[in-house]
Amino acid sequence: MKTRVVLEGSRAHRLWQGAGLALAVLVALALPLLSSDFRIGQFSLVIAYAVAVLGLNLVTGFTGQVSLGHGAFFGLGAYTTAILVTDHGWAWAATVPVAALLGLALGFVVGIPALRLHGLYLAVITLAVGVAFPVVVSQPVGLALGTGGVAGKTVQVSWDKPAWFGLDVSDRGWTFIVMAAIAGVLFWLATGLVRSRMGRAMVALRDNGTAAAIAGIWPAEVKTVAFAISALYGAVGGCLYLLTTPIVSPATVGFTITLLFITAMVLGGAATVSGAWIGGIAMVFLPYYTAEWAGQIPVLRELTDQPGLFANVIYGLILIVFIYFVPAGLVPLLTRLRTRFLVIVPPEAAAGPTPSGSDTTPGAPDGGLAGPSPAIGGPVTAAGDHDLSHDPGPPARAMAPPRGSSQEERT
Amino acid sequence: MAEALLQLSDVHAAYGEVEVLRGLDLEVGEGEVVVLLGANGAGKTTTLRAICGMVGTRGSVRLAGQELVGRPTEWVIRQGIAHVPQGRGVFGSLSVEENLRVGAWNRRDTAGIQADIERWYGVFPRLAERRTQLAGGMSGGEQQMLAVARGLMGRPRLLLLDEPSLGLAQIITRELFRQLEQINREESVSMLIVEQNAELALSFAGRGYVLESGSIVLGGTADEVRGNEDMRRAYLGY
Ligand SMILES: Nc1ncnc2c1ncn2[C@@H]1O[C@H](COP(=O)(O)OP(=O)(O)O)[C@@H](O)[C@H]1O
Ligand SMILES: [Mg+2]
Repeated sequence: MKTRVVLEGSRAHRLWQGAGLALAVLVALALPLLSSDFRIGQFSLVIAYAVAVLGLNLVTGFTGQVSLGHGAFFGLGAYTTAILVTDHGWAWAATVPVAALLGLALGFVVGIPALRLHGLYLAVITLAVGVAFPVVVSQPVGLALGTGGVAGKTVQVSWDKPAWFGLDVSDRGWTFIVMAAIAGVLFWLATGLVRSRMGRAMVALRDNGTAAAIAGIWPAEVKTVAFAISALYGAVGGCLYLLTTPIVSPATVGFTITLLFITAMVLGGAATVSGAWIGGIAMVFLPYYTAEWAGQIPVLRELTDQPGLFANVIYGLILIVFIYFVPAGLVPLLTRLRTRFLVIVPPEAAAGPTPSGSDTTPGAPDGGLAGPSPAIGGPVTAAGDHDLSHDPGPPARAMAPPRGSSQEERT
Repeated sequence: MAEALLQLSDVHAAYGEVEVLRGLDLEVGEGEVVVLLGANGAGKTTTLRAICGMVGTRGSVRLAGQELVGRPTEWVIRQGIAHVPQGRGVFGSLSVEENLRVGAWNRRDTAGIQADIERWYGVFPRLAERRTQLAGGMSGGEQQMLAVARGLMGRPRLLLLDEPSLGLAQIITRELFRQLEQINREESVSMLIVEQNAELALSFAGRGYVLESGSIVLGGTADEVRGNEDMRRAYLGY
């Protein structure tokens, strides 16, 4: 096949981009037209999960901070929406900003330990948040807030397709289209974020925390912002979840879902924005099909009367094989395949030796798997570089003096 | 006499229990280039780290009269110091250009940043050729150039360079020093340079210090340092 080379920002490039966007819109409209309500429900769930996985990816994949508490942010969003809708009669849409702000705040607070802690220690703290959340919602304090305790909180959000919408889709299909539009905006914002000044700082911090501080980057600022935005996406994912499922319970938002988010992130490709879609698809369909397959394998059927149990084993095996052969995740792989027929080169680099043209630009060559330990992350880090966190550094390290101007870059 | 731009007085620095700097005194004047010499393990890198708050430090480090000891690294950097660490430490999964932009983290002047990027591309054409390439995939010499350029992107008043010539070809080293000389002359950026190539560094620096086991054993003008018997035997090899 002939390889096309396209200059970034050129007309041809914009055409390709436009085609990609049109295709995405087409898929989003076609799916609810062509699918049953059951399938549409699954696709809607993909959207909710993808948004949450994207959030995890921002803090872990891009910034290199371990987060084992993402299920808590997801749960915070889901419970906020459930309580406001069911107990206070709010409209779903009105609950989203509230959930997003709460997520932002909780993420910010969880990000504070990240200023001092790294690797395992940070993992333990975030793990504590993730494990504590489902416990708290089932305790009296949670009940008082209206969480519904162990049984969970039911919620009914159902939308009728408005009359002006021309396509012949069901109400569920309409909901899916609205969710897809919301997710589209969130993914677009995240793409802007990782390409912004803040995004560069996030990757710099992951690659080499010492060098980032030497460049004048405030690790405190970048880490807390990354955690806060990550949690915001997690919470909004939780809000979206309730459009697909009429109940949220402690079991839904337990540690299991955190682990699933992490595997989804790795499958799609850490430090890639679009990888979250693949992650979301894997989260919904992989367990579904492994359960089906497990039921069909004759040997298993004879071994046990509960072939579903083997679904988890098959699921695990697929993951292991996958991680072994595609350690960087699917998106980097797909990007490489795409460059066989379409290469996008930035204009100044038309003469340059290695075109990068991928939507994973700041992604680590290793797919960010080395992310969680920034000091080890960079293959170029020389022996002379030490992770300062282990040095008895100056005491003022964690205390960022008040900032005059806001440093965040809005996208 | 007015205080020097950078003034280290009785600086002690330790990694945990191990004290590496033992009462170090050193100064760099406004617009001055100072070279720091010493055997491996003498504490040269640690001296630069102490200035930037990257190691537990006692004593006094002052930049234009302002105390730096006890401040976090990123704060020190904002006071106008650039530090090009030994072993470079570029951001491997950012492109060359993105690395340079991270170097300009503290700046807001978009046009100025762009102009500086072009400037460094002019100085290091290799970087221009590879502007969109990931820094992690470049050769050691290219990474060194990038690290120096990135440090200067912050428009520092004081540049700390830790063995900039390490791993660079002779010809590139000379070009680098020529550029440093020009930056020093035209923009009066002060520099404290740790360098193995003592001859080269002394030809460019106004003054030099020799560090031994964590304290200064010799300091003076470049000629004085070059003229010292012990010094010649130890570092210049004649
Ligand atoms: N991160 C560290 N932890 C413990 N000891 C260190 C560390 N870095 C350097 N040292 C020790 O401090 C001494 C001075 O090191 P350094 O400042 O790197 O010397 P130089 O740069 O002059 O070669 C050496 O004995 C070295 O082993
Ligand atoms: Mg050294």
